Amino acid sequence: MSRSPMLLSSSIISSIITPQSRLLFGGRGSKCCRQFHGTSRMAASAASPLSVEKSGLAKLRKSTGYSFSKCKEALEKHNNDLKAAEKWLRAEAQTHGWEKASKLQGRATAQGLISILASPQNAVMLEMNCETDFVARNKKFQALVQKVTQACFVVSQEANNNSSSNIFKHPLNHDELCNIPIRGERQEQHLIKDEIALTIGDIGENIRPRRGLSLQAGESIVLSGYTHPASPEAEKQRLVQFGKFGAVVAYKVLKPDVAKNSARVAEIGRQLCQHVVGMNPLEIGSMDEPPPKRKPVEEPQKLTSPPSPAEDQDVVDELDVLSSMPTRSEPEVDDERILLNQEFLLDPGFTVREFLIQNSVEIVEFVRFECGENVESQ
Amino acid sequence: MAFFIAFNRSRVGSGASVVMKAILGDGGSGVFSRSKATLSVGNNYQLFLRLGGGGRALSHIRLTSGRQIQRDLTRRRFLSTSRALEAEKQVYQRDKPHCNVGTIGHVDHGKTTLTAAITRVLSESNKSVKVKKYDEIDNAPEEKQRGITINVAHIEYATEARHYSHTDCPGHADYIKNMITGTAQMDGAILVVAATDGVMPQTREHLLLSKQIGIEHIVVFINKVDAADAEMVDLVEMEIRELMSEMKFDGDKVPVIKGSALCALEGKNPEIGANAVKELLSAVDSFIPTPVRDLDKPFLLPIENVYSIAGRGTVCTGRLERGVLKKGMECEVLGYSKSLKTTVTGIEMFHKILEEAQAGDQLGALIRGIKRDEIRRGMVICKPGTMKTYDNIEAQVYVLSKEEGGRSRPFTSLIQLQMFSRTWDAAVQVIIQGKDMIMPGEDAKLQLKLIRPMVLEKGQRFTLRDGFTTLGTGVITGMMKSMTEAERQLMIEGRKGLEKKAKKEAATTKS
Repeated sequence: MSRSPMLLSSSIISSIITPQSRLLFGGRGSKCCRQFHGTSRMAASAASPLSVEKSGLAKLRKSTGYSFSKCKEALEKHNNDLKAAEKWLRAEAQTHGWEKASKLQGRATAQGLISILASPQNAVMLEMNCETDFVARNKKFQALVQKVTQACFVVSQEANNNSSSNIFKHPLNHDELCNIPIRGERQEQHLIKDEIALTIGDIGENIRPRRGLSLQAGESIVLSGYTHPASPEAEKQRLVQFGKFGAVVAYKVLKPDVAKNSARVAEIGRQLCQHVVGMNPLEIGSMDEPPPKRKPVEEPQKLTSPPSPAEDQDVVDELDVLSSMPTRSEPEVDDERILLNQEFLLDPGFTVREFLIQNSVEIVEFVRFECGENVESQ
Repeated sequence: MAFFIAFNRSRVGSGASVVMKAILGDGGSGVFSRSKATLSVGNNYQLFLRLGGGGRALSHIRLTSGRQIQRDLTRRRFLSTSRALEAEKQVYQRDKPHCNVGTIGHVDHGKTTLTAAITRVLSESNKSVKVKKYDEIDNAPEEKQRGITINVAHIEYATEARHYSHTDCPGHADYIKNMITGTAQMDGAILVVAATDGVMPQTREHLLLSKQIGIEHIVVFINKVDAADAEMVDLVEMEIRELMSEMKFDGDKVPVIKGSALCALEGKNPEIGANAVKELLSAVDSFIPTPVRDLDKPFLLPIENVYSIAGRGTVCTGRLERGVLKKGMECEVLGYSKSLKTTVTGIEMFHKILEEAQAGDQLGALIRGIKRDEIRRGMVICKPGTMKTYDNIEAQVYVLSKEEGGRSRPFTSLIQLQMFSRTWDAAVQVIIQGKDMIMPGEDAKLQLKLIRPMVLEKGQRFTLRDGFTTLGTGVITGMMKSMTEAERQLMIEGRKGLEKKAKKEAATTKS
């Protein structure tokens, strides 16, 4: 057990406090602002040709969002012509993005998002990495992830000529992902890597599409995708979902009357995906194989205090805790990695096999991505 | 909590070196400093002991040389002896109030350089400050706090006015883990923004984090002013004030210091280098308030044991968590749906009468007119009216990953767990907010419903256990409306109760 090295104020030795007036700082700060406004007006009225006008710089920064040094460079190049400078900045953004991107290329990207876009016939799942989880939470990065996922989805949909009754799986590596075109907004050829470079120029962190997967379902197979933490809105509207974990499940509904009820079919798919995300199975297993003998399901915990002496919250000392706890005869760890034999996440009273039989559903394929996990084929 | 322990040669004896381990009042154990302190016997020592959050009093010392020496330790004696003794190892001088700060900002804006520069500038005038090199702070080392792995760098320094512990983490999740498990709340932060780039898109996320971990006081340092001109710097300042106001900080009053951490580190250009860092530190000194010391708070004694002593009455033992307790003080005994008002008629520490107990003391309190079976472990003795019991709370919880000893599978809403905090434990029902399930290794906001009202307060830390494994640790972030009797009944029935209720409702709407 290690204790945090941070120190709390002690009660032992009396302290000397020298508070300074906080108003002092408040006063200083607001004065700064006032001063600034004053000078900026002055500068605007007496513009020297070479110096960058502050108001111009401020405007340009506000309208474009590019870094101050870039905005300044643009204004200097175009003789303080705001419009020309803005045009130049936007035109140069791609080059700047690439410059920044190549500068940051080697930096480690361990954070990021898993994104999924799924229709019943088509699904893509991607992992996009960045350096810090602050960026993974940022709207600009999330917008990039959405754009990229959509582009991959369009390509996957077009390539879907799957008329068999099987499922096609295409893994996409870093280079393949980079060269997928983004269609729509622009006339000229615009690839995913260009879009990424633009965002790198903006955010200033290395961003890397790590891996992807596109799935095309054959006849009577349905696809469903789910990311955790879930974004229920995106799921409903068939938009791009993103989170730290993602799973796509391909399944068949065997009973025609259930298959007609599309809401129920989607619900089953979602629950299966959730199970895959949570329980991390390695393989499906066979429906025909007899299930292994199940351990008797333990009684659900009752809401009563255990007889063991209560510990202080600080005692995370495992030894202490263990010694005061009754020893358990069987390890609790559920190491079942075959999907069909696992306890169903949402109702531990069933196995997945039983859940599938009840709903007359068959699982064809599943894929699970976890952000930052080790992948052998990298 | 910190203690000074002093012992002299007559008690320890002479001979080989000894390794010391502290045995805590309630049977738990802690170890000196980070791991072990090796002492050569025969010298006089002062040892500085650091213990986690609700660190407990030291009741005796064990020497692992095979011989056990158990001693009564009282603070009074520590103080009187420690002053008289000479130290060989450097002694932490608690002559200044302590404050916890941290740095936040974009990876390339110079957080680490600034931290290194602060230690360098301070070391010039204060010899006790150790210079930290850039590489020592960068790549925040992995640290284990309460069994949880966090990437965090802790740096110590002192200004004229205060002593600081400076935290630097690479990611959002690390700051959250530090808040949940850390011994001390970060009292303030330094936001670093480069003048060349200005506010970045993710600066918003940095400020959101500060809100989330309860930081209200932020000082801004605009870095790299040597690479920008004055107009740009002014514009960056305006922009940051605007953003801070938008994020509900007091943008107009936030101190903004401009300088170059690199110049300060390399000892160049003192105007924007060393002087700017000094200006920053004086802003931190004055703008971030000193936290209230435990000693100055109303007293609180979580009860560990209750004894009935013939001829005296009922005695409650425990460690005084905060405040000062004196004989004759009015007090309230609270917990397990009970509230009893009485008076402390005597305080003893290790069979000696104590006039006044201070935070950190392990003591026994004699209380008037209450029978032993009315009180039990888990209740608290506190200043009347200062504490309350709650049964419905909101908390930020970190769920341990499997590697950290947690579960391998996620959990969903309505799971029933055992909550341990201070000296009590209680069954709780967990309601997950905004997610379907919580994966191991994730942090989450949870609503906790307790089976019975317990003494709780904001900022209190706790552990959640699931029968045989520690599932997570958390900190209470808010109180919710107490449950009604019907709600409590429903909670005890758990998932089945909810299903039954839903069925009933469906049946009534049909008919």
